[in-house]
Amino acid sequence: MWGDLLMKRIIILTLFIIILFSPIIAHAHGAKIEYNANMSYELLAKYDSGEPMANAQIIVYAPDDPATPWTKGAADENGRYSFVPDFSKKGMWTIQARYAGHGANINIEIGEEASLAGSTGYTWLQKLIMAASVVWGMIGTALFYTRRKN
Amino acid sequence: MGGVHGFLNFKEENTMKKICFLTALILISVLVLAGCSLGKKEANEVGSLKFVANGEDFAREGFVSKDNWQISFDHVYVNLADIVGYQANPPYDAYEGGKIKFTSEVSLDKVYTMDIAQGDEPSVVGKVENVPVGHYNAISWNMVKGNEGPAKGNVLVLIGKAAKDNKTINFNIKFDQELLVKAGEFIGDERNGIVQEGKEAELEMTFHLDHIFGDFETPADDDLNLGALGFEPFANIADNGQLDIDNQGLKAKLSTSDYGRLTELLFSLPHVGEGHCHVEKIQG
Repeated sequence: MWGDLLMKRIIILTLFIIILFSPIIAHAHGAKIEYNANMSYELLAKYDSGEPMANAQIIVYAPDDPATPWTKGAADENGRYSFVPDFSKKGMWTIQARYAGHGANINIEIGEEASLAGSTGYTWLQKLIMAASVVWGMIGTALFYTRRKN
Repeated sequence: MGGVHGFLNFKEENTMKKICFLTALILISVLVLAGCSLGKKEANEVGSLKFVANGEDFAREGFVSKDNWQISFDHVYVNLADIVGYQANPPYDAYEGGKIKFTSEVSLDKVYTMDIAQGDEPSVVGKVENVPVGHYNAISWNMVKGNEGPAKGNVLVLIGKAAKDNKTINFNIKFDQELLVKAGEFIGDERNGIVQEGKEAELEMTFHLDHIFGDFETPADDDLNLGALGFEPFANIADNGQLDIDNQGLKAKLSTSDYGRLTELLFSLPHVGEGHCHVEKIQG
């Protein structure tokens, strides 16, 4: 009787694990397309008068290292400057334009919807809660079936 | 128990209950401890934030106005109060104005009379220790009438001399319009206001005196010089090379258009580095 019970428990747990990880197994036999959309941001720097900030110095700061410029460049004669951010760096990007004592800045939020490459972005606490929930669910399921089969 | 859970014997049922209870206890403990340790780490991370006032080289070394007056300052007194640095979220847009929304704020409570013509560097107004780490990307301050000291009864006092050709004018010009200033991030050679653990960061209140007098080294058709008053209107109301005048005197002696322009220019005086500010009158 204990042998049967143990065997049934093992079968139930095995089935549960197969169901839990089935998407991974399915992907192992599928095709995969990866893409990176090189979306660029075009900026226009102007003075209060509406005149373009021709040849303005441009400094771009990424959210992961706000103290160090991510890149530097210069606007063209029409005050235009374009750049392609690293979309894996989610958060507030800051761009400054400076010329001859005049300055302006703009903040651009790059979040999940704009993130076209990179990891899931879950924090370790979120991952821990998810893992704990899965373990708890497995234990609960196993206990439920164990009771009925006895 | 037997009626409902009759498939398990009493011993097995107790064992299952114990396993269930212990597992739940372990999971809850882990989550609570994790949460506590995360909060503790954030609360412990502090640095310091220094507030400075900067008249730049225009105030410290003097300059040539747009109408070719060589101006030098003995003193540029400004009274500052209610100085607050913010970790603004969203970042504050001075062009839009409105309230600064923030997650953390640090303030200086006294009235400070600063002479921004002294020294070689920005003048330190005050420093606050043990402030939460983060980016202080907004600032607000008031320019108020002083209750004591060299700028008593005034907001801004310019003391110095201006020379052109063979003329020299000693001036003492006093302004008493109180202003509320709100600004976003400092714009300059380095990014300011980023407090890291155990380190000091700086927030700057900048004052652009060239906005009043213009700058000979800047092209005449630049917005700065097109808007500036220059020194000539002040020279024209001086008496025997002396100009000791307050706001009421300026209103009485300057032309209506020049006085109106001067009043507007005072609003463009405060900056954060090269970044503009939102400035409002404080109604007295």
